[in-house]
Amino acid sequence: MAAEVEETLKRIQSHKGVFGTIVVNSEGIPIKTTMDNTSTVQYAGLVSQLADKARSVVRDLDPTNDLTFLRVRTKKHEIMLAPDKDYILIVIQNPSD
Amino acid sequence: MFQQTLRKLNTSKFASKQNSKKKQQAGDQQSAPKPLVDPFLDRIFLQASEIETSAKKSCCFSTKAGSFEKSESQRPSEVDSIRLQEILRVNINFKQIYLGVEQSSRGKIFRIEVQGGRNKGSSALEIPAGEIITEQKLEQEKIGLHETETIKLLEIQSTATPKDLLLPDANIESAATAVAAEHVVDMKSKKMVEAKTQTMNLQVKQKSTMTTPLLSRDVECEATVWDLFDATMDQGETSRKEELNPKFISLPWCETGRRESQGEEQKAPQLGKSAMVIERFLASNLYKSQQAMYFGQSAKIDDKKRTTRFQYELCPLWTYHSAATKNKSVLNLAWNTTNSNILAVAYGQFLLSEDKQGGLVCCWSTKNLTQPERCYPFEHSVSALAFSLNSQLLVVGLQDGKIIVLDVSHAEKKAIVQASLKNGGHVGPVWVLKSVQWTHGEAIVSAGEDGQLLIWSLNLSRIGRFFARIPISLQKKEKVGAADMMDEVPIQEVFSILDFSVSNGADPLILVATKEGYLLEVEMELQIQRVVRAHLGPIYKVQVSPFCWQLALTAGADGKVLLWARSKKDAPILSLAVSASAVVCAEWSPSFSTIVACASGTFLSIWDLARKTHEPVTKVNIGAALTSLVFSPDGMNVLVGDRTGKIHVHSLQDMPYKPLMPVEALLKAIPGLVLL
Repeated sequence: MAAEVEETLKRIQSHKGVFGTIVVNSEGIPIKTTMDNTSTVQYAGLVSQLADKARSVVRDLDPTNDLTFLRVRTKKHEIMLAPDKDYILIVIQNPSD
Repeated sequence: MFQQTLRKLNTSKFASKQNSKKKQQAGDQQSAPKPLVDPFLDRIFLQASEIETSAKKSCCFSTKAGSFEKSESQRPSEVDSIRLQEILRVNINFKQIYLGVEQSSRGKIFRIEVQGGRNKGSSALEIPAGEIITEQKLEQEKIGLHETETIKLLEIQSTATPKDLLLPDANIESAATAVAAEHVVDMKSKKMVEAKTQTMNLQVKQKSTMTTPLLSRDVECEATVWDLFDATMDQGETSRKEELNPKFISLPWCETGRRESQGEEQKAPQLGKSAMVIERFLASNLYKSQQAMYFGQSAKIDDKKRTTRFQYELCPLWTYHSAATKNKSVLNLAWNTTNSNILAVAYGQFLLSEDKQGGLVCCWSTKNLTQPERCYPFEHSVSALAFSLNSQLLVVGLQDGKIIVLDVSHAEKKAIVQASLKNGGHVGPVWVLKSVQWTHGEAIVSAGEDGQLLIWSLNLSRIGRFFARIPISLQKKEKVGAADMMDEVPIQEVFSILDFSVSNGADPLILVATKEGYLLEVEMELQIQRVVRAHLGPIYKVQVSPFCWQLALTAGADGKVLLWARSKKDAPILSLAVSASAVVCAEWSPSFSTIVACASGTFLSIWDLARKTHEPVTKVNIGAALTSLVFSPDGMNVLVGDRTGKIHVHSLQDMPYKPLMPVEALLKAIPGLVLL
């Protein structure tokens, strides 16, 4: 099971345009990363807050609902996060177009 | 005695005369007789006199009789008023004296009643109102005294048990035991009384000591609405809060320590799913425009070039390929029955002479263009596959004749049922698998090299069987189109089935395409109705038009696509000369009634029967030898598989509008088509 996940993560990392992948645990501490330390810590901290805020919005509107994915598209790249109660998976991609 | 008393009333205050027998020491005031009655008739004004309340001889009465005193305030020189029917208290001998005003037939009268205590008599003196009572008057009247009934003002019951109530035969010492003895009492003696005693008033003493102060700590916690919701949801489940979340330090990618993998194990399933979806996002970011075109979301209408010519463009969108599918030919493509985004692809060896590398079944999604979402390897080449009507099950036919039912919802290969030669399966490769609606539900029909058409239930138990057995006698007769060929001597009776198609209509039939070029019309009871020699070589594909059940196409190795109608028994009504090489696959468009797509050699061609039938409206060279073809469920895209393991997706652009009445369009397009 874990090997498959590893493989998927490796594939994501080697996908065209991706420049970073971070896996953060529930406390906001990065577990896996492919970027340098400073950016990782920065991303992890800021993104956790964003994910928490987004989740609280969704759940306050309807407690039976829950947040599954969050994509933040910026001028330079796109940040995709998949929050869960145990972890947050963050991928930063630079789409070619 | 009373009269004596009464006579002395004349010396009362009512009398104006001063009585020398008055014993009042203060002495009454000499005053003029005052009228007794107030004009309002409800007050009696008594002349205040110096009545000494202490002395019992304030009254005008003799001492024997007693004295009366007013119950009201005794302030002298103040006019007192006594209300109606007030009782003047009298002490001792006389119980009551009523002084009241009564209404009687004679007008208002005064009534003075003195009631004796012991003597039950009362006499009243009635004095009409307004009159001044004089002595004479008093003597005229007789006043009697009566005793009224005793009015109880206060009653306090005694709570002490009288001694004579205790049972004589019991040796009782205290009241407590007496009460207890009540219960032993005979029913006869009912002299029972509830007794209560007052307890002693014990002295209470309060004492206090100092304790150590209790330590307290304030903890704040915010509970949002969804925390409460989660709590109610988790009530039945065991709490997983105790799970350790080890604090990992930031480690680079390549270092996968043991602790990390443990952490991964815990989160693996969810992480895997999220990773998969993120991959889809990544892919769609790169192929956004292509996906838009695939889903028909980018219709470019060039206003300037408004001509009535439709170009029928085939725009290449993307290719499905991955490392695993390299060097394997795409043998079959099948769309999922419910989710039109999932495509199952069978990989294997196209030519039987190729090296056996094993087969593969991949499930591709239109959302993830770079990676198949499911990959199931097999030892043999997979030659046929079909989704069951319940879209989770995928039925796979292998080259060694096995039929396997897979559950696509799992990423690992999970064969649910398997059918091989032992349970009555095929000998040789299974060429076609189709999922049809049978009498009692769903059935899977398989056709193979051995000439059998087998009908299975979903759990792969065989229901029916059909042999493509053509008697030699029939074969000799039907030798259409073989005029310039050598005389063929039929040697076999059973022919391998390469494809079949069910025509559902008023007169249902199964059209079976064989390897020798025979097209069989088979009734639903699996009896051959007719044999037609369709092509010179194997018929690779037969398909009934989705719009008209009486029309079918066949694609053969002679490079032709023939159209057959029920009305014309022995010959096709239309022939499309696709190419010189074999037409490996042809398909009707599921949305456009007159469009046919053909794959032959390296070319993909689109034919529109309504436009022209001598050449295709558009043709594209893919670049690799094609093996299979399928339309997307909405008919706007074409997917072709080739022998290198790639699947090319093309979108049909610049198409005319769909005909409103598809059957009419077909009738118009194909001359000679007559509907039964």
